[in-house]
Amino acid sequence: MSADATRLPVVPASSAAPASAVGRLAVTEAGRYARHPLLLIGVVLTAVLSAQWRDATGELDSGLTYVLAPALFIGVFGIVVMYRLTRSSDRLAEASGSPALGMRARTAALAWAVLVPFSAGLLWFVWAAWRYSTTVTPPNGLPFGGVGGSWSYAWLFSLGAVSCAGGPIIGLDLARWFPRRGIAVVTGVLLVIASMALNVLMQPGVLEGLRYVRVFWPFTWFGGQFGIEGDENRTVILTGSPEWYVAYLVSLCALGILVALYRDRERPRERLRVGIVVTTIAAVVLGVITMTSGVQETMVNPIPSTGAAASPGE
Amino acid sequence: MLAHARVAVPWALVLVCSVMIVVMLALLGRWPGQTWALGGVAVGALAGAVAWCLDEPLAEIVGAAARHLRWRLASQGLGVAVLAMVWVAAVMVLGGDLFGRRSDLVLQGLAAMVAVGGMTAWLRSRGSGHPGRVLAPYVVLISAGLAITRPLARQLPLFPLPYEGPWAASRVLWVLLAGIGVGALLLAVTDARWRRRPVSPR
Repeated sequence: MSADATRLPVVPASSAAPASAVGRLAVTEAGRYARHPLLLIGVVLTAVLSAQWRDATGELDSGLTYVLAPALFIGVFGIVVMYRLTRSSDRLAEASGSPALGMRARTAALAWAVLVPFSAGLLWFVWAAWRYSTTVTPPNGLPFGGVGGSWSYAWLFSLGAVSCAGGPIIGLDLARWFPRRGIAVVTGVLLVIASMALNVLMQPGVLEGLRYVRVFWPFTWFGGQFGIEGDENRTVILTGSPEWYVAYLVSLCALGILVALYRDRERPRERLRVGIVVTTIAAVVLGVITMTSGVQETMVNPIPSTGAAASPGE
Repeated sequence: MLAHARVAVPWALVLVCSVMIVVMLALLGRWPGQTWALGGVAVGALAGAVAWCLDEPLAEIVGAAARHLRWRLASQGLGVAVLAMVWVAAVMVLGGDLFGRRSDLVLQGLAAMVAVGGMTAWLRSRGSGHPGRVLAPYVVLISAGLAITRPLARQLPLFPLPYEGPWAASRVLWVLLAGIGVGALLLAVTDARWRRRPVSPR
């Protein structure tokens, strides 16, 4: 018997699950996602925290740091939600003996379900954009020096809305490639630790060079009260373009979905392999563009954080 | 008992959580001002690890085992003891002065362990085989979220800021949580007669 004959039969692409079946399953998975207690808790906590952003007029960050609410409570929580949905979907498929839909179709349906947390993030973005548009930034606040407009809205969209999709996609990848007890929770905590560590490590005198390449990390600030010597709350605008960062994060999300789909070895994977290579190249290029466009030198607000100019509207 | 602990405690997860706690405390000790929230994240990770430790890995067949729940919990307590030692050592050795709040952070961690451990044990006594798998993600993620964003800082001062926070109220809250945990643990390990359900005459 030749070696070829012992291989598993390759199912032709035409026999893949019909789109309508995937669509129906996607609706079911979206419903399961929408009813998951962690999503509901996350949405409530996002709303509670965002409600405190009644008026950021006069605040040095103009409320931009409120992106933490959806990023944490919907994005990071989403890692666990999607991991659990994927594992329970697999258990159901195993229990049924011969599932009507293969792993790839189920993965595609779960990937569509990411629209649920993304929609929540999108709603938050619409609200946050309106809230930000009514905010008067003090001269010693953020943004300053001609930076603003699309810079701020791209900040809110990338860190606030896109991260709501990014977290669940990480959960999907973990469930497909590394199904281990506790891995989704541990990954969520590791992301938080790494993001905070990045913030302190790129301080002047530590590893300041990290400021330039930090845009490759999926959650990074483009400014804030990073401070200078003698004024540790001074607002600073960091290098990079948040507008391009949106495109970079979207490419990472696409890459994550392709990698999850690639897990199914029972269907042809050549096109997926090409897709993964192309998307990886696109992500690297977009990351480099994010890094090399927009603000190219760290901008320090000339007005001290505690200056008299802090009064809004001046 | 040690043989049971070797099998029943998820030592790999205990190790991963311990390393994460040590890293967080090291960052907190070095840059307490910028990474203050990591203290709360670490408390959540510690409590989540306790919940995983007290899960029953062989829940489906353990009903036929000769060992009582008390014995199994005591055995799995070895993992909890290791975590407690890691926590206290990490805060004392790596945490630095922590704006004079070092003892408060130790209290938060130990109280969270008792609260979540008691709750997990109680759920096990009620017949749930893997309560840790259910509890741990909620405990870890919600603690991290509350520590970083503090959305209800005044009403629920679990992780106050070092200078301006309501620390007295926070201490009361943590002691209360620990008390609830002790109560749940006692309920789990005692065969109180009033807890037993009457047997149906059928």
